[in-house]
Amino acid sequence: MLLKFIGYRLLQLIPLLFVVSILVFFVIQLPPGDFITTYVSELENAGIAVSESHIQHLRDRYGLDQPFFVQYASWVQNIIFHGDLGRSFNWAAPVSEVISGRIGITMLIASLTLLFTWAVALPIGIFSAVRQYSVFDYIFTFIGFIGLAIPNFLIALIILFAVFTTTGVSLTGLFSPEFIGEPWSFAKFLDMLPRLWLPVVVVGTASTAALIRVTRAMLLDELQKQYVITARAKGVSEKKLLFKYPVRVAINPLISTIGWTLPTIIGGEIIVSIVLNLPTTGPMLLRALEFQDMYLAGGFLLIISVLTVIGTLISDILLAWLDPRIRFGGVEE
Amino acid sequence: MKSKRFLFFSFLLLPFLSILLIGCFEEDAATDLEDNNNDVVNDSNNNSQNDDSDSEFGESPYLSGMDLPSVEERLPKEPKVVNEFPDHLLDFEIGQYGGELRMLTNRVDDNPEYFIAANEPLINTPGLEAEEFTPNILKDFEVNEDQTEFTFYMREGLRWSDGEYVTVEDVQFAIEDVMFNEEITPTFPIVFRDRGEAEGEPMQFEVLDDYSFKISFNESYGGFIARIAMTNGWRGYTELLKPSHYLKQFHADYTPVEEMAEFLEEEGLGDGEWVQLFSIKDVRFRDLGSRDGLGLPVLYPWVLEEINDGMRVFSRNPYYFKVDSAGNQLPYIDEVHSILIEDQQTIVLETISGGADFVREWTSIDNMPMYRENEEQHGFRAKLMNMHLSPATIMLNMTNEDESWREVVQDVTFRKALSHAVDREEIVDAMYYGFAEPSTITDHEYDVDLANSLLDEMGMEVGSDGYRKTPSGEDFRIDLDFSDNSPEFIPIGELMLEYWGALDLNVNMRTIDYDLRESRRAANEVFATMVWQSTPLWYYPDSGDEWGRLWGDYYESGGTIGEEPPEFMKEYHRLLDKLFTVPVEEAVDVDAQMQELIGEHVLYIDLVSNAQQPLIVNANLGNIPEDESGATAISVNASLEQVFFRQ
Repeated sequence: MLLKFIGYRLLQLIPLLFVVSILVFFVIQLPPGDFITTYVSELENAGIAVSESHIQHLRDRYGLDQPFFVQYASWVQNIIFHGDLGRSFNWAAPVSEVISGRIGITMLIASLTLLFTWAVALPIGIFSAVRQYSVFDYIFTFIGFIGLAIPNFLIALIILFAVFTTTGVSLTGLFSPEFIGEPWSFAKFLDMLPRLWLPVVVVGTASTAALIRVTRAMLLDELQKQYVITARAKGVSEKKLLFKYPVRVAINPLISTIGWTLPTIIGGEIIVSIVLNLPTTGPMLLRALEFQDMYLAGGFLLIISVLTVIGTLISDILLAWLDPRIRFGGVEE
Repeated sequence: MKSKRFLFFSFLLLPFLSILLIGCFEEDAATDLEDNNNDVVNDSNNNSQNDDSDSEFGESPYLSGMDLPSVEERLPKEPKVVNEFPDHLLDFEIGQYGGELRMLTNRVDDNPEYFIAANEPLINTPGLEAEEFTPNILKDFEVNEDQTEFTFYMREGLRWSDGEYVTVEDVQFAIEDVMFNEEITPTFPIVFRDRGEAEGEPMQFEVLDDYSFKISFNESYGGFIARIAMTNGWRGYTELLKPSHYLKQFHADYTPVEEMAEFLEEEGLGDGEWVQLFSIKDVRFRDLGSRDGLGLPVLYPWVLEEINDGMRVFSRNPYYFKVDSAGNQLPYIDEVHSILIEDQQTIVLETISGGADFVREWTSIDNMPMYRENEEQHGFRAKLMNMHLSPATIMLNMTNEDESWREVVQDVTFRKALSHAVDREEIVDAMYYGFAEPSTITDHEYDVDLANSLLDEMGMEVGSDGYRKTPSGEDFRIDLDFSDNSPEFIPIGELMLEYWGALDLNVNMRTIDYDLRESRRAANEVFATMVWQSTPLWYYPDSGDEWGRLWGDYYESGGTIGEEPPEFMKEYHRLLDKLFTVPVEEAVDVDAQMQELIGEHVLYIDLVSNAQQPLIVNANLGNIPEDESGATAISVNASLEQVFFRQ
């Protein structure tokens, strides 16, 4: 049953990805000019004469003179048959190499942020629901709305500036300059720890705030249901009463949003990463789009779409597995 | 229930899994680079030890234990005694060896700050002043009386960074096998044609002996020396000098294409695409920091050694050809680190927290108070030096296709009116804190009444909507579109709205994306724009393509495309041609004539001149010219081989 469901969803993926890849490729090429014109005009602006021959070599190297469909066909062909996403103009290296170099740190930050969000938001959300309209509820609601309303990058800039004016240390980057480019060592790991909290907290604030609100609302709904009242009437202890069923139901949204979390692992929080100068994939994606570095951007967008589709699939499966109501309701009918 | 707990723990494990992932990829990347570096080290033919301590030349302790030939053997027979600045700009001091210089960049594959520092032309001009031209990589050069034959003498014993000797064969390779090879160079470069023009015949090249060669032209070309030294951008040496021993392995005349299979595959090229392979491996000096530059033998003070995500390391070239007057081999500084920081504001933060030792490219005058506030605490000096550019100039595209626009803008009275309406003193005070002067190229007097009466005289009457119409009664609007290249552009644009609004003109300002502006410029769609202008440099004149796109096309194509310009533009183009063909001493006069022409016809609206540019340097750096010396900030950037850390 479940296998059939998964298989069906995977089959759906094929036409979807086909359409997505054409769109991606088309959209990247929409702006006037191409990577080479951007590159050349930048050089000329810096006072560098660029010879016609050099430009022609670059065009040949990346096949930019060919019509749209020829370029698209060879791109897709290489992905399918050789797993080759093409070359990045800007980095002068294969796309897979460029992306893989940064994916580890990106996933580290994204997963820590996810854990941070859950660790902070769930207790607060539960607490605010149980003690609704208490002083703490108001305080956290207030903080939560501020967290939602202020753009993350602004929080990042404010914290950076505050840390700089009080301690004179600039917290940008993930490592101190002496560790950039060094191989991994325990010392490098220790060096990273004090710098790691900043992106985690900054990126986490908005989603924490959102999650607090959702958990609170869900739990409030749940706590008013009859089974809770019945259980309380029968003398079940408050703690058991709360955690046995209402909380479990209330965190359903947490599972169903995993699907959206997956793509943000590689594409999310671009501006924060740029401001904090993190060696993650976000700034790379932005730059690829700005410079019309089309194979890198195309590779990114393709991977993000695949992750979105897979993430939604995982969410669906997890939900069906965790929540009996969904399992028995939806699929069979 | 168990399985759910497993799920929970597996989420906790995510961060650790990612760390493992990082570990795997980093290792791969590191080994790749090591491989590349080994090539460089192994190539050097090193037998003798440098144990003779009483030598007349000094060297950095950084090189000891590297198993290199002695410093005498590494230097050419006649090393170049450094002269990056004329005496009146810098009081040269013998420096000390050592240190790592940190630079910042916001570009992935490039650091403009570094490439200017590394630039080594064949012939240099001290202080970038173009007052005199002296041999740099070359030992000497001669020019015949007609300015048609140029004889160049090379330094005997000069070596590439891998230890191979530089000979005339490298020049011959660069010219005969690359520049004259139609596959590699389909369009022969303009600079190396008669008169430096597109229609000119290509130069003739002749080898005289192992260390000298001659380049000749059919007509006199007095600007040739200036052009290969500096003009039209940073030239470097790579056009006329290439490491042939290294590059021959990628050239089909020397290596069968079958033997290149491995390299072709590495670069993702098809069989037989050796020309593309060659152009990748033949790294132009501008791209010296790019990945392709690993392993390429060079003549720069520092050699690309390592590329990490986020940083590039350049380490000293043991065979660098310059010495100071006491015979110490340069550069003084052992390593240059180029650190990638993508956000401009973060670069500012890094700068004021002392996170860099040299910042020019990324400074701006409006951050000056912040630099000054932090300089003492964080160990740097915030200097104000001359800027080599006019920081903001307004251009009206007189050849835009719009008829009513042309009617108005091509009238010099209108351009004069716009110029008189601008309060340059206010711009100097408000934007540059007084660290600039009003531009005097055009008649710069601030007189709104005069401006208004000039417009009245033209017949531009105010219509019912409160805006002036064209003399034939059409609506008229100035669209000032520019890209946000510089922090002062937007505030200056706002001032322009105010100044020209006071003339009852309908002015509209937009900041647009850089690329969009470029493509609109190419398509002749721009009306008015704001740009940096290189007027202060006589050897770097404007081709006029911003203020008359179609006239520029006409000039550059020799009349085949574009539109025939009016007489004063033709005169401007004649002067432009002359500028590059007469000897340097006369060129300055030609430039003065061009400036006069620009002023008389108000070809563009120049706002300020002699602007200052902040330069942030580590407080311990020596051989940095004084603020009042009159040196440009960019020339300090270009002379980093003689800068040192004071211990």
